[in-house]
Amino acid sequence: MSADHYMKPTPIDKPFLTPGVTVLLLLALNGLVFLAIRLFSGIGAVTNLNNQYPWGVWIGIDVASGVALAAGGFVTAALGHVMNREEYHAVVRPALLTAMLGYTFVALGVMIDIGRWYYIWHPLVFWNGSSALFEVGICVTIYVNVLYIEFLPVVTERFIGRVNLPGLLSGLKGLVDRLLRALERGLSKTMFIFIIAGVVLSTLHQSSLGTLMVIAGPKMHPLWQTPVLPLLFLLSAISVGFPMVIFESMLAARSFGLKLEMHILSKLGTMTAPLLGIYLAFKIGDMFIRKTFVYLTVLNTASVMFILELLIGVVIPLRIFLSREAVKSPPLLFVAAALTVLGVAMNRVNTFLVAYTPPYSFGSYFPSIGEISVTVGFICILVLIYRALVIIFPVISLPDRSLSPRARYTIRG
Amino acid sequence: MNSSSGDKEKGLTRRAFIKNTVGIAAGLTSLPALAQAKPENILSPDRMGVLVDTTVCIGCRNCEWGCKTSHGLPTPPLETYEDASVFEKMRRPDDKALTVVNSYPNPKDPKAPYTVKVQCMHCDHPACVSACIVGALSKEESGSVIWDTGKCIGCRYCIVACPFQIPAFEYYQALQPEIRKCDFCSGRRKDGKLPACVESCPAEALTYGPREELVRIARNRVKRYPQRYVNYVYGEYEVGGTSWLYLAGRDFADLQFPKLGKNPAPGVSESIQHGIFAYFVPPVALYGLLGLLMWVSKNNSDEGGPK
Amino acid sequence: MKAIYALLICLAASTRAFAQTEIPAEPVPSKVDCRLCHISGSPTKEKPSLLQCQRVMNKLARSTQQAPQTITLGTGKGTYGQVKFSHKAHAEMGEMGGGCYQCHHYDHGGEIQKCGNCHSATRARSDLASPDLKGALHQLCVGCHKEWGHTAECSTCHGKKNIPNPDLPKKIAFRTAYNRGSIVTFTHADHVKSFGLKCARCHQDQTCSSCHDSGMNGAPPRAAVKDSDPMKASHMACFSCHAKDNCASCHSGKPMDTFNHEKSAGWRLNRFHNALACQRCHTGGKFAKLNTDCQSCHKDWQGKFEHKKTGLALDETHSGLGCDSCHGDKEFLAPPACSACHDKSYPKDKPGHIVGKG
Repeated sequence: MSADHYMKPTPIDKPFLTPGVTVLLLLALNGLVFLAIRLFSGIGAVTNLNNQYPWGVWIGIDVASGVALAAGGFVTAALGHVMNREEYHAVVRPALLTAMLGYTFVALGVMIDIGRWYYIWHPLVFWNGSSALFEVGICVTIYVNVLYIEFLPVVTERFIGRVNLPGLLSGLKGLVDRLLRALERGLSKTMFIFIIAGVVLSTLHQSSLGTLMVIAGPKMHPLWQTPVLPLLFLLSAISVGFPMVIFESMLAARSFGLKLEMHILSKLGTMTAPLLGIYLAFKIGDMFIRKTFVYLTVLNTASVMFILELLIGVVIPLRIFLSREAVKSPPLLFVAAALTVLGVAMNRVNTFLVAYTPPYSFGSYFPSIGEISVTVGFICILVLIYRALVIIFPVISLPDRSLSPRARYTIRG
Repeated sequence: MNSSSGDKEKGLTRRAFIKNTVGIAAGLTSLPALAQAKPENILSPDRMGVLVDTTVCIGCRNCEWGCKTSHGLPTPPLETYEDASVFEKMRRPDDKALTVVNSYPNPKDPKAPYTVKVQCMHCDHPACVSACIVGALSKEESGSVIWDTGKCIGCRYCIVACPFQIPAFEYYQALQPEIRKCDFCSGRRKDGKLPACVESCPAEALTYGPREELVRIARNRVKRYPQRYVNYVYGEYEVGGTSWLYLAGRDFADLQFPKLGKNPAPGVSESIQHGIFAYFVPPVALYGLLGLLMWVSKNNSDEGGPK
Repeated sequence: MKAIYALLICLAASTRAFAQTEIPAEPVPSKVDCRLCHISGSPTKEKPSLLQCQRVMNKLARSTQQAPQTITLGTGKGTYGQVKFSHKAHAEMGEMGGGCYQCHHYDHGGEIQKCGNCHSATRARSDLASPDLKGALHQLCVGCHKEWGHTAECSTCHGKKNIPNPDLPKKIAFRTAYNRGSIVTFTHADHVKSFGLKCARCHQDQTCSSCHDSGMNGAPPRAAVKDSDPMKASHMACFSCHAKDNCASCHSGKPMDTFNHEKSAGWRLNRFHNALACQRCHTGGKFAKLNTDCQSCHKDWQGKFEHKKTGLALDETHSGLGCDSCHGDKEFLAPPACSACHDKSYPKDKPGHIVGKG
């Protein structure tokens, strides 16, 4: 029953640099240049933001979509650890890593978007319980730390018995090794606290992220503005968890030339169907209860984006996930997962940017080259770090090739 | 996590599990005690307000000058304010001007256009105060909604939340950018002075006084001169009431006042927030539920599993 | 703009302070009905039983002749200087609109109350029902000034800016519905000058901007022919004088020229006569032909006329002559040339002296 009889998290034995990685490096560098301008000349120098449109793609994509797409971490943790379905343990670590990096970049995204980035710690000291943003901020802060703690066993696993300190420090080798082992023991006893906390924190802030825009009231297009926005955000975050795991697993497998674990991914796809179905039901039900479907009869950006978001992001992938045959086909499964990811990202961008129509505006918002560069740059850096970490740490599960030279260094198993 | 760590978790006693869970729950429930106390009685009957009679306003923009002068913002000399060409474009308050006057045609008398001063409305239930992540915005008992530079992190959620689209941000400031908005001359009023704009208005289109009395005065004016005014006091009920009130000679929508309901702007959002976090019961309950689920499923797999 | 005045009237009237503390210095004349303000027939100081102020006040007409010439407004302590308000000029213009009541409310018939008696001198005050003095005055003035000036320029009143007099039309040709001569030419300038008509005689219910609008400077010139008001209104204005004239004296097929005395009467008016109102010569409201002999009008001039005031003192010889001996054609404007009577030897050889003696 247990997958780890033949699947085992293993550092990937591949070179870091490839032509694709070089392109990502260049894009990352480009983003950093604009980031530097933002830091030295202010937000206005790089972005198209103004007093009418205070939030742009840095919030809509980097933060809102980032949080949603990092939901794979808590959804798989809930499946693998809380429900204790061990056959899915193979995908827990990649999802955990994605979540950890995702949230780290959410924090970075918030940091560059707020005017006083050096005051990012203020919400920890100055509290405002009625603010949805405060709730999101606190939960994300705690959750990032929880994610780091959840990742620690991967680090201990990698280094226990393999501590290799250079020069003078080599004398401390034994001490560090003992510390790592102590840490490992302590973590394994308390890990369930963090796993459950992670799920609770995610539930809270994924929904509160939806509450964020409720306060904008009539400034939000009625197609998106609803008191159940937090519930919709939570449901969509849960339903994008598995597709995100499928999406990144398939991408990583392709990139590293690994064999696809279709038996796990297909099951994840099938499990996504009811989640996505519930989300769709709530979304359409909400639309009918508030009778907002009348806004779909007018052809404008809002109605088109709403239809696209539902059709491409929910209906089409739902149809694929529902088919027993389609989820077994890697290309179809990939398309469905990618569309779900795109759909949820679209939903976040729609909610935060498209639906937001200030009462006074001197032209609508469109991201500047600088904003796009920074966002793309951050995503590239995230992918690069992901690549580096799966090369260094045992994250991705591979068939247990006990004869392979690396296997003997993997102490725990 | 792989199965080896799971093996160790298995060794945990049920007692230790419950102990840990309860400890977390207790820690969480103690958090609200740290939350800030709200300022007292922000809805005191004595709170002050300003009645803006747009039919009396002559568009001299002395209020803009008075505001800038008293807030230390750079301004050209007063004489330049006589230039009426600024009215050609609609303007909004920004980080360099906390209040602006706009002009709108008067269908009753094309020669006397309506001029409308715009600034923070100082809501009785301000969305910005509810929204601010660090509580940098607050409503004072005197009516002022003010901003604390020491707390602000520059997230601009207040701009998103404000139903009147008032707070402005210094987008071109790399360090210590500020949120700028009318503070209803909180400082001047504490010194017993009138708000700068009220003081500099030559025609007293701005009447400063207790909000309740201003509502009465406004209603009286409308009642006596039904031809002069539309029968509406803007701000009396908008988003739960605002400290600043407006009278107008034509429909408020034509003067670009947003159409808002009577419910406080932060109402829905706050009830969701307080619902989710009602004394931290829902999160703690979820925590307990998940813990139980985890414990049950772990035991099941231990018993039913091959190991 | 009237609404502003109306507002002021009621706001001021609603101040309790006024009614209770400001007792008119002189007894209220009997022509004001006490019940205009007091509900009860026997009000006391403690219980004045005041009626909510009504908008329509008793309109006691006061002559503009009584009005003070100028009033200085403001303390001059602020950014701007005091205002020298030309009260009389405004009062006279006001006659075309609502009269004194365009600005003043509350006329007991006694002494006119000073604005500051009711309107507070300070803005920070407890009774907010009526504007403070500064606000009241600005509301009063700026409404009209902005209406015709299109700006709220402070220097118009606070500086020494001269407000240009309106450009009065010379003549206006009205198009009427009358089929036998649809055009009526009204010689505006002539009527004003020749009959000494005051603006208010014809113009009622006017706003300031109907004459003063500064926007007219850039506006296209007045139409050569203008559609007239409804018949009744336009005839009423003219009939007070033209009652006995027949239609054709005003109605014509084409615009008429302005009145030319020489053309119509055959007698050219010189500079002095031209400046006179018609009634000066044509007495009794009749415009019949008059005798053009000077003496027919200038009967008692002899003995009073001093020729030296014209710049030439007559010597004994000349003072004995009749006027038309030198001023032929009754032309008194241009000094006659000596050569008209004297030969070329003048002035070397003066008449009356023996030629060749010196």
